[in-house]
Amino acid sequence: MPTFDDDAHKFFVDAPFWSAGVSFSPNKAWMTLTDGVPVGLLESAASIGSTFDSPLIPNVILFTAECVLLVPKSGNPTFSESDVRTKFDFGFVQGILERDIHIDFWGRQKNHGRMILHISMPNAFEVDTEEAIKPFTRVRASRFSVTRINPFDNKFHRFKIVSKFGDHPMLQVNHTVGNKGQANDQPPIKNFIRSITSSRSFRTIFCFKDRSTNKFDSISSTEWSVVYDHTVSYLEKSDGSLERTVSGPNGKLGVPSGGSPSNISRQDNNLLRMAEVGSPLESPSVLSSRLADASRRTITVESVNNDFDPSFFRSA
Amino acid sequence: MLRSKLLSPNARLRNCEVSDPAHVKLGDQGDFVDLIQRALALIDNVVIASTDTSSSLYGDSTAAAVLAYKTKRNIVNRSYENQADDIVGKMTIQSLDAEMLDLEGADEPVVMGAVRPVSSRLI
Repeated sequence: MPTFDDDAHKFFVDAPFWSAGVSFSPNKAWMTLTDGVPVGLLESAASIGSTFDSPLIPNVILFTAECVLLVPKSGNPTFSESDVRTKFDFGFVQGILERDIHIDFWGRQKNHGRMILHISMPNAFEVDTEEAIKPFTRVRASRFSVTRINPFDNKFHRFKIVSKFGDHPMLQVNHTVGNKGQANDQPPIKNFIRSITSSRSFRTIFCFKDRSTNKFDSISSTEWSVVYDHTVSYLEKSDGSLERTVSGPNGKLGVPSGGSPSNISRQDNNLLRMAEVGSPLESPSVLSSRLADASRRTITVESVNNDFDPSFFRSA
Repeated sequence: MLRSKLLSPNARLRNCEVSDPAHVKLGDQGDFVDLIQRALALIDNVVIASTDTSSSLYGDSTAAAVLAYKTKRNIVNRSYENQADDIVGKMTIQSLDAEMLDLEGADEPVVMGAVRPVSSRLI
């Protein structure tokens, strides 16, 4: 079991441009966490393949964690940076808890109906990773750096470990649907996104793996969340184009100021046990399957929208 | 050529676009009238009397709704009239079709996807 300098732990969180919002491209709505995401280009990219791991997406929340590993010089007189890399794997393991997603689509007037999409999600923490890097959040080559410090310390080899990770979890959905009536037998009437409700919690854990035992241990952690509870209203201009107004939670809701060893929770340790056994993981393929899984979806179709609010869709 | 999913499948309405005798007018009755009533309700949110809608009859209420629709959009055949009438002819069915086409949504299911940045995950 390695030991650390208790006074040297650092955990920074940086999210200066964080702003949960909804952006629109020609056919899709994008649940973004910052302004200026090139959603038009993303829609083009989505038409030819997955947008997971898109180079077009900027990181919007950045994590930097540091620790100082202490290795006794007694018995290990020549311990080096490469020995640290050989024995240990440092980095972030991230847990994600996806709650149910709820999206309302309304027609532009009461008798155009509405459609309500509800997607049941796990509502439990899983390891947020990808097949190529599981269970971590980054490829090993860039997962952590090791730098020897205080070489004249008589008792310990001291190695500063720094790990960085950035994220921007987004969702996209088509922004109009065809309402074909309760019996699904009518010509479709265009319904527009009215509201989006989605909430995801994350635990980002700075940890290490003993490569000889595959055992994970936590060093420090933080908790953050991505909350969408947004509504959209429309103004149809004389040229037929739509001006959309999105309202919802703003500011830095869910963004932590930092993390620390004292934030380590039982949930973090549970996530590291999941990381050890490799299950359950929320990989891109698992998430995509869930979002498309008919058995998780409830779609309520109404021909008349009795909750219709005339301010939802106005003409200039 | 009609293109909306609501109106284009109906042979009488397709004929209405190209043949004067197929124009739809007061006293006509049938599924083609029902489609016109539904289009008017969806486009202009008008309420047509149940005496007309229950029997797919082009009665006074339907004729009034057509007249209001045409007047609002200034649909007038200047070759023989100076103001809108209450008949669904070529120009009117084309206008209804175009507006329905704009109202109609895609048949595809709601597709959701996830997006993540690559910049600090895989490189």
